[in-house]
Amino acid sequence: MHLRGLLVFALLSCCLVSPGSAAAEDRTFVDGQRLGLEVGFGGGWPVSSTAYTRTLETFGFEHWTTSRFRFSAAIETIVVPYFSLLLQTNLLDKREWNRDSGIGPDDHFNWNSWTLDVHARAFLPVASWFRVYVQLGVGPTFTGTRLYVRTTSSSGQTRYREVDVGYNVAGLAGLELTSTHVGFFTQGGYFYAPSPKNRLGHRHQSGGGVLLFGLSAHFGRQR
Amino acid sequence: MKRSALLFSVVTAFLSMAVTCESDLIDDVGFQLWCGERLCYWDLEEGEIRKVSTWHTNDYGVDLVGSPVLLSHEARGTASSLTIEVTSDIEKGAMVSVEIDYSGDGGIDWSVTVPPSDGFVSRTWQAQTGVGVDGVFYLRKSGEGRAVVARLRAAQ
Repeated sequence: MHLRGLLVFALLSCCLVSPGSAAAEDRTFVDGQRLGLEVGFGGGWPVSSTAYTRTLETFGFEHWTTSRFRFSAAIETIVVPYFSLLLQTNLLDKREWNRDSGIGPDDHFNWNSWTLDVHARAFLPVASWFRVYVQLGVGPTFTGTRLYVRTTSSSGQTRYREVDVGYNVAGLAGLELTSTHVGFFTQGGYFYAPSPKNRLGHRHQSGGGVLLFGLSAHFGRQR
Repeated sequence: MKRSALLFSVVTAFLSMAVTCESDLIDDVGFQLWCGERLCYWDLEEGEIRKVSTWHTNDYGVDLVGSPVLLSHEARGTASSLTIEVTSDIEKGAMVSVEIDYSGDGGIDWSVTVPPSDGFVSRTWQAQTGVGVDGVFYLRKSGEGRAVVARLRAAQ
């Protein structure tokens, strides 16, 4: 499955920079550009059932909410024509679970996952104001978990926070409409992020499909 | 105004009844609350127990150490029939059972042996016996081997 994704990415990258298509490209998109910024918002299609969530159910938790909201922010620098590198962060899964404790308020457990990736982007500047691209990313996933349970004789609950650090890989494709300095983009793809992990060794897949819409800014770019 | 107050009272009473009906007859169903080396809501009748982490460092279970071990818990209500749910990790040979003394007279009116498992699993049984006002729940281990119980629910 992953190999097939890599192959598709490689083929798309070759197509984007092939001599045949170069005639249609507009080099002014990249000439002089030093830095780009992107901020995106959108939705996600999370993986609903994993070994991790089934373990929560085994221990009496019931699913309460799953947030489909997704956010991304990135800094882009064009390293060679048609290729850029990005430092990109994405908000992935965010879920909440409850459980009857029998000794006061319900137990509560939640988590949210963030990525901090380096992405390699291959893009085709169809015109000075329009480009399409594909990108592959890899980096760490940080998942913060919070467990609220009563563990002392006092009636209140105690909050236990943990951070799980895993990895993630991502494949995304998008398009961007831009003026000299400000643009609009849409981007979709898939994240594989096996985090968090519990004490029994079961992992959740906090990734899944994403579709983002956002604004971009370009600095140092010349017409 | 009086009508709305009456309506509020009726709704509140109905919700209270609903909550009561769904509530568990065991206080600390998750073996979560420990008073030092012992469980706050369970009585250790025999043997040795130990607090252990389960799927999360701070979500506890009770490790029934050695054999025999007997824990008891007085029912906090009555029920004509019960759903018993046990989440446990029990080695073969540990012989863990859940028992119900309906009236607290010392006789066991219902019991079930929790099957061994490879890791934590959750199992459910229907107990038609129910439990009376002086009823007692027992968690018994009579064999050697690892036996960790993470949850024991008894709900109507």
